[in-house]
Amino acid sequence: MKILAVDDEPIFVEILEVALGELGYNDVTPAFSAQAALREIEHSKDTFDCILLDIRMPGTDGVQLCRMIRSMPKYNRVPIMMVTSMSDRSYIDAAFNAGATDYLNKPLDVVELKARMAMLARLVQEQLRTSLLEYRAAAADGMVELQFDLSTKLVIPGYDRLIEYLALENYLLSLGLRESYTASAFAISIQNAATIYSAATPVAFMNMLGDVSSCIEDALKSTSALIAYAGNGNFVAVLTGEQGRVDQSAIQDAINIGLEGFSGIYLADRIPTPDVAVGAMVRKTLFSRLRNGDDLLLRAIAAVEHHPIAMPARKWA
Amino acid sequence: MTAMADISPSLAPLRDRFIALNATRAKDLIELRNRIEQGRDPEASFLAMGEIVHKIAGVALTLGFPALGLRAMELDRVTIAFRKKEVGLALAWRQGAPILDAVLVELSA
Repeated sequence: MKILAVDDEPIFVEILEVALGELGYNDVTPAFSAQAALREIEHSKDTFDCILLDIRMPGTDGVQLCRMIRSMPKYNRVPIMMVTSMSDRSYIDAAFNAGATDYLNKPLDVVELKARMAMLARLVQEQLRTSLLEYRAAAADGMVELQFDLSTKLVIPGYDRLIEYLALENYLLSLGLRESYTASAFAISIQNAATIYSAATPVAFMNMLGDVSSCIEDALKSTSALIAYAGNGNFVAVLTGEQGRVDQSAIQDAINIGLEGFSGIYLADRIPTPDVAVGAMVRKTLFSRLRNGDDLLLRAIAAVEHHPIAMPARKWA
Repeated sequence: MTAMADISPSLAPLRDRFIALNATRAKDLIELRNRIEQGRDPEASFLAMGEIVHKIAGVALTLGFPALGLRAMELDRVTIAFRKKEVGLALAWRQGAPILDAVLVELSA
């Protein structure tokens, strides 16, 4: 795995190189500033598989650099792990918003590093597989080769507010105890996703998810919600603090009205227009016993599946 | 720098370099303290102090200098609060000066 490690403290980069080397990751390129990192990215013959970014650096900081890297087509999916000390916690929200996949704590703990890197290595493998499928699909003019299950947590590129499901889980894990009680989540479900999936080509299904993503972003533009696609036609949105008070009915209406604008496309593709329902807001309570990052997200999805705010009328193109 | 904890032997050479680097950083911190106390661009000096202790904190804790790392982190937090305008310079410096002294004691130990 080809890794770029960026930190303005050269000794910390060397520590990372030593620790990663001991875990079998020997291809580490150091960079001591955002500018040096961008030069490495520009001049590197091969794309880096994974990037480790210090959050606090003079000049362009790690969050700004993360956003710049994410805007590069070759790097829109490459895992980016932020490296952060406890005093930088307030920057973590901004880092996930800028497209970070995960974060690693300073001081460096080898057990934590090993677990985080193993997760990133799996992600790199998955993304390699997805890229290969996309390449084949493009080569076959979008005919057949792009295959995925309805349950696949697809990455939907091109939307600023949408992050990977795994990154959203990592974001929830990053919240401290007090912050975790201010986090709330709700799901946005395409109620007829299975019908659309069985009627559409994979490319048309992906395009439909892109349309829904666009309408969700529009509907949530007044918030700083982080959103991810959770598979099975479900999106999840996470809000923290006072933002947790949103009008789900209004969001549902806005998304469905937005989707009406695409109905001509669905007619041509011979698929139904997506029926979107928004679920009730869920949050962690003293008695909820949420253990993992995705517990809150799974509860939000269960809430929309069992109790959508209001079932919209089913529309067929 | 006191209370060294056990670390991987492969990190030992880095620890020696960190100790050597900290001699320079101690001088820089003393110079910044003088600037703050003499009113010579005190805001910028306090923020520059934050950048130095931030660097010390992450590495010190990793290389087995917990006392230094924790003091540096504490001072870093005070400078962050100042940078975010949660506290003014006078209060931040009142809180930060004794922590800086403790950092300097650890650096010279």
